[in-house]
Amino acid sequence: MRSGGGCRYVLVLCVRQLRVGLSPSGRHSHEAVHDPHLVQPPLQDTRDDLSQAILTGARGHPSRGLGPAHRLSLVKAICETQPVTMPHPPRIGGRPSSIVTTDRNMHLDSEQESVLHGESGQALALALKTLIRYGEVFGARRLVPISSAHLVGSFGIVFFKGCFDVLERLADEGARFKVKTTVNPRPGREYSIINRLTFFKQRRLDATLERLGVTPNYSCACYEGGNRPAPGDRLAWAESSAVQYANSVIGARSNANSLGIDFFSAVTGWAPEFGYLLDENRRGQVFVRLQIDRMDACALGFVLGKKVVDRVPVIEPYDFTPGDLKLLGAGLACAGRVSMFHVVGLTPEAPDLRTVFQGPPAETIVITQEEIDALRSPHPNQADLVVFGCPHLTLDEAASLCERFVGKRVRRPAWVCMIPEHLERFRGTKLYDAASQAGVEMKSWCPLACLSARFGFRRVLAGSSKLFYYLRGSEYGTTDDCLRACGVNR
Amino acid sequence: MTTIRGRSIGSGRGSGTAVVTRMPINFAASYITPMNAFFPSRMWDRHHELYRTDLKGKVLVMANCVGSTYSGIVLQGLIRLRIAPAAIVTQDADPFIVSGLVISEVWFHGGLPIVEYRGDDLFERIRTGDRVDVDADSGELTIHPASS
Repeated sequence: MRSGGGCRYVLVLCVRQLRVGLSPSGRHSHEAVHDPHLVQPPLQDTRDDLSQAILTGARGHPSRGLGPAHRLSLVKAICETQPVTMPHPPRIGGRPSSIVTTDRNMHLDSEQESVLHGESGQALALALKTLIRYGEVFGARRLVPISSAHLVGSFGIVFFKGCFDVLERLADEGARFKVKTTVNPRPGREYSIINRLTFFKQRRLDATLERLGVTPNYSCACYEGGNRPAPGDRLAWAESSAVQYANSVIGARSNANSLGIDFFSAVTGWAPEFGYLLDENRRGQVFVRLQIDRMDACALGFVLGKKVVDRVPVIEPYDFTPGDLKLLGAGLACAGRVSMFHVVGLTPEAPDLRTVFQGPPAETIVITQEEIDALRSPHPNQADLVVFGCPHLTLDEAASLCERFVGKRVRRPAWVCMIPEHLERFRGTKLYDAASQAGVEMKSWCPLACLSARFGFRRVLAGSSKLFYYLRGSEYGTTDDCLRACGVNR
Repeated sequence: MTTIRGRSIGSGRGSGTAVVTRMPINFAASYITPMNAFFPSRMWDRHHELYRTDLKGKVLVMANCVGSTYSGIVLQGLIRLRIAPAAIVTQDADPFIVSGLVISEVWFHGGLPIVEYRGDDLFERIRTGDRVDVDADSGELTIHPASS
């Protein structure tokens, strides 16, 4: 039944893609350049010209471009979630977006003024205008220079046409990334036919990004390779787990920017100053006590994220490893909306309780062993596929994982997703060969994007709470659970 | 008829029947599904109480956005396809919704009346089925209750 429906769906997709490929209206990629609605009026006053544009053009223009709305369809949601369990109504106050003011005064320096007036090209002027509009809503007073950027828009999903149009227009007009800019993983386009259709635009997107001068790391763990900021650096990063790590573990400063804002910051080299770029929003808000005997940082992050939602948690002293902190942050960022946490005595901005809170903590919560255990799958041994590495593993992390497989044979398929550059270094080592012989598959793509549109592998056992949260039909297992499911633990 | 005032985020005017939800909305999960091939303006987030609701031309009254950083681009796509709600009243103008709106305004000349009203009384004042006029230039919301 199920697979019959699936086949029909694939067929429909194929026919649709063919049609798109053959018909003249199927030329999606150059519309940005030729679209008359993209031709901008001369830039005089930002606000006047905006409202003018909205009054005249907002509703009137035909929606060419995306073609049949139906192209939305090609995607199995990459972002499908588990049931929403945010508190209702949501908590207000404390997060960056709550420090909004109604006055709209963004002060620009002379260089920014000249870019805004189109002296570096129209596309760059529009990019800056977007940042100004965006920053003003959150009460930003100025644009500050950034030292690096990290982009999320690495999936060539056919639906995100607006994003590709804008990127291509920037590249066509000669804009280049002003600062070091890394990018999220590729989606694993080559994995299956359905993925080839879904990520139809992948190659074009890769080429555009490379024209813009991206550092092609293709990994969400950019801080482990290619783009490690220094403490205090201002960044315009977008991947939530990376932002979390940069803010909390490294002590750099970034907001979790959404798609679009990240590359506008990268091409202009500026970011609006609000949220986690400012001291007052980086202080702790909730004190977290742990009643945990068997630590599982990944599950702890997830449970904590659901509880604190958008307040900055401060965890009592505990000796987490760097790998633990990475997983803890990833869990926190997906289950909640917070982009920063502290561990007293461990993370750079929390030397002691007094400093991190600037006064006594307003609230204390306790996380117990039962709560984090409740997240574990009750039937890890029924999984069809076991996935490690979300966010991407480093060479060291992958090596210590792979050692467990040496001389054994996996009971079910197991994937280890790791940073592409580290995977290259890993290849050719004895351990790599031994792990491959045991049946472990090393990948460099994003398991979430790749598996979202899967057929088969109905039950995925994820060794990461982030993958568990986003991937439909997945269950969470601790590293030990996952190894046991592979048949190699003890 | 009552009038309340919020903070103007978008611009322009819009009016329609209110669809009220306290649940945070995940635009990416709602509008990027196979079902959107057939009913593109409906939202198809299985975990949401508005599952299958057609929001086109309605006034969406919501708490905030959650989920993917892709949400902004999804909203921009909805505006460009002209299947977005007529107006949005949100309790929290978060980066997702603002980025989608701003990219749409600046790059595609497509605005959307969006008003932020932070008070907790929002969900008592507006109920599903009421007719709401949103003037995003002044931030004014005019509510015509369905019963009267």
